[in-house]
Amino acid sequence: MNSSEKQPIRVAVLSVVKHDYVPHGMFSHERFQPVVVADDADQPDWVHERNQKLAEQYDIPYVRDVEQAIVEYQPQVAVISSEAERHCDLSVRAANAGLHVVQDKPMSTSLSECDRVVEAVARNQVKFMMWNRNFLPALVQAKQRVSTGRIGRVLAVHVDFYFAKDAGPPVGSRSPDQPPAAWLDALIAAHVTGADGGVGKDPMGELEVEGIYPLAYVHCLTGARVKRVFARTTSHFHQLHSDHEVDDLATVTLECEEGMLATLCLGRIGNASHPDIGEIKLHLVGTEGALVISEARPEVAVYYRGQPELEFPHMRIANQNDWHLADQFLATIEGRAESPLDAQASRDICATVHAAIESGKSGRLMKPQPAPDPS
Amino acid sequence: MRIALIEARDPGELMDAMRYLDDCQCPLWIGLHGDPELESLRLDGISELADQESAFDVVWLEGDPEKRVDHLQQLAQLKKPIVVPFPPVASLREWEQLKSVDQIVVSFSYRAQPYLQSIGDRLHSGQLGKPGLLRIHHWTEWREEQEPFSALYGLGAQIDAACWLFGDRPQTLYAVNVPAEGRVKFGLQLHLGFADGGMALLDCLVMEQVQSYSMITLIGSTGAAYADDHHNMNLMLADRTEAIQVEQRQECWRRIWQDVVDQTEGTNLREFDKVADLYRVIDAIERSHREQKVAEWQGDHYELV
Repeated sequence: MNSSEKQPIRVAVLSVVKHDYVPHGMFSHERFQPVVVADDADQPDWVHERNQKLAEQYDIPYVRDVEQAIVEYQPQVAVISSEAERHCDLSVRAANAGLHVVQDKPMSTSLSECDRVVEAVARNQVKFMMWNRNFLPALVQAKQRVSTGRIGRVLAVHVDFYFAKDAGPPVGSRSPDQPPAAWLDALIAAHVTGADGGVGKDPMGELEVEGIYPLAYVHCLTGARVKRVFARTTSHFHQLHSDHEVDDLATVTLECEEGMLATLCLGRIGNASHPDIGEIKLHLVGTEGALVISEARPEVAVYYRGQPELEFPHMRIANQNDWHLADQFLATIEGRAESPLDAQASRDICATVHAAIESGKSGRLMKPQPAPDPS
Repeated sequence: MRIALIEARDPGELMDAMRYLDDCQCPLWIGLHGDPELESLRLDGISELADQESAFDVVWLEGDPEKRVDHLQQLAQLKKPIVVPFPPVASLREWEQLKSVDQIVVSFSYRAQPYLQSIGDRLHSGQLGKPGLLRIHHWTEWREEQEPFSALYGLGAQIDAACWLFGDRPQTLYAVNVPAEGRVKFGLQLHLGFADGGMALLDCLVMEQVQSYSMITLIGSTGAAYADDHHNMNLMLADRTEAIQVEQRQECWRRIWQDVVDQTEGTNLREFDKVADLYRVIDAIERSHREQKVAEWQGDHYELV
């Protein structure tokens, strides 16, 4: 029996205010079947509008009551892409109802919320996956080279993760008599162009929003745990970030177990700073050699008269990241594999990010906060 | 400009690069080299230079930094500009001994890299806005004669580049070793913080039997520049596919000589304090990775915090 003849996995989308690519990604796999979109009734209109839109796309109902939707539609998996502050609460509620969980980034703005998810997932014996980019073709290639020992024991991993997007007016553009733009309002408005990164009530820097991706690379390639963090952070580009005192540019040094080193360069560097989504590269140093990996490859360059200014001329090809993530999660649910990024690893990444943000503010070395003792 | 070469690692290559400049040549040199064609221009030692004073305008001094103080003091008698690649001497203490020798010019050959020159030109013309982030990977192939000492000072050249691009010394730094294991003979990762939020990550690595590799990225407030050997490799397809680098050394030396000409023709022959600062940074790096602490600039020195 091939996979398409097997029973579909019923999926509830619990709030989809930010990235509809997470549910779209899951539904790229034939085994995952959308059955309902649900959210809490007390959410504001713009949240309901976005939820309704996705429900219409898949021709499924939108229910303004999460628990009722779970009872009525009997989903097995919850896909969550809400405002960042609500991620973990929705995950815990889903886990408590016996659903496996796929969650959008960042895991949470609060480490204690992450800990709740770790506990709920373990207690309810369900599976969890943070959405990530670890199955992009270049990452799969890097993982394969590392796993087969081609560069020996990994001593250092350096990741550049720049995304060339604007976030409103440039820093220094607001006159002193103008009030700062409200964080959430600005991001709601930016949704049209896809430039809404950290959707949530609390302002979030780019390290908090995007840090999961490069740190997930380090986790996937080495599995090393971070011991100490030193970071520099600043709001270098965007008035919105500056007004809310959150970073849009960061560098991080991570000292890991067994002497391994990792570094990150990360930023929302503006549309003008790269012709495509941004320069995303990995440099790996091992005892027997090194690897230099461009995350974008393979790609095809396309240029033509009348090309829209914001269209990326370099198109990524052979990219099955979404399908592979969904497939891997299916294998996780079926007990054939480990989650590519489970609750504990996601929580530890979140702790590293928080330590980096703290280090950026204090100028001091920080240790990621350890997970609470389960006893 | 007539340049006398002293203890240059490869005088033939250096002379070759001078051909690109109309008014640059090497009339004599001191040191060891196997090329018989160059033998007629060779002198036996620095003491012979005094007799040839009218034959050259500038001295280029290489060789062991540990012995340079003596050489520099000896050459100072000639009253001609002396160009010496960074590090000019082995320590800040030795550098301070030379404070009264006015004619020393320190050459930062790393700045002459075509990648860096191009990025610096664009940054200083204002096209990239305010510099925010600099990332350098500088991986070199291990040579028998190479000591960790020279690798650390190789990092000094990158620090100079960072200071040049950000226009100031780093305010904070944190250094971490990459374990010297297997092919890795030396590895140091340096995290710098500059005033007004600027930051840099410098990665200096020496590996055995691994081709050299260079990457520089500068992220500015209105633009960014990416220079990467990864992008600039060609392919050779034979028994097995091989990435091949395009040679840039000649262009690098041409720029070094142009810089020597420009600097020695100027009135301000050297920037004593700037070089002293680099020694202070290198000292702070050593202390930072030894003590595993962040170093902060506090008025006139770096303090571990």
